[in-house]
Amino acid sequence: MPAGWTPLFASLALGVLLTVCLFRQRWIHSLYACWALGGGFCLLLYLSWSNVADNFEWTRLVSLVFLLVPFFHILNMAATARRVRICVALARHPGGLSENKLIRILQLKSMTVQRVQILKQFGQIDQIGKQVTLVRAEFLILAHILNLLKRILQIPLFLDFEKFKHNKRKK
Amino acid sequence: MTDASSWDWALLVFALFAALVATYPAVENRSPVFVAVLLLDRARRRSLSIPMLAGELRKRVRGRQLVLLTVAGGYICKKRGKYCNTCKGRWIGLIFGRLQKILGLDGKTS
Repeated sequence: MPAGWTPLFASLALGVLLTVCLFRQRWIHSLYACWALGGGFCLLLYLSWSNVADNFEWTRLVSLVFLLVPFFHILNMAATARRVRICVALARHPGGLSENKLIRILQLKSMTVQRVQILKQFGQIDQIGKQVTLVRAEFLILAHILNLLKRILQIPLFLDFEKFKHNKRKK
Repeated sequence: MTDASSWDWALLVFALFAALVATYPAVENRSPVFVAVLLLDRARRRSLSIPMLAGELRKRVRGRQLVLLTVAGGYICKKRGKYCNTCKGRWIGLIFGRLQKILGLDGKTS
């Protein structure tokens, strides 16, 4: 291992461990907040450790930030991805499941409640009674960026469900 | 501060590649969070009632469509009227099943 990589990978490992512990013990209920805390801890630890060891490198710090991105996506997929949920359910039922049972496993009825909860955790919406209002723009900007990427990659956009059905029929 | 070695640059390229590859499913996926945000942005005064938002979300995120998308992705296949994992799906099911257990999310996914 090249010299100076120990603080880098040890910080990453400790950040991952902290994220998992925080979420598993339910000290913090939001997985995203746990990731942000774990990631922040990991970056701070690397900065201080590498400065003490006198082998700080900007490229390593940037690499660490990039390595935290797949970690976030893996956590996010484990928690929310519906395709993953289907695969996990089928791994537990090797004999197979009918379409109705698979759709029931997706728990689409609780989808809105869960998503409203996530948006509230991030302060994106305000809820007064049964009315929700978009009050911040960060997620909206992110949605527009993802839509732009979808357009470039020719993937159906978020609200473009008719086009998706049309493309499916053509296939 | 020391000079970045070629190993460090290799690690940087690998980390960037991993970040891009891991971001692709998020781009490809129709995340209900972003669908909800875009729906709220389109609504009058950026406001909707939860039942209306749920109805709009249900129109766009359908169970059958999700199952078909999973089939199209090669994760599952239909055998004698029942859906089963393909080899790829089995690995994903095993790995994420274990991860859900580690995270204490077992069967309580959001």
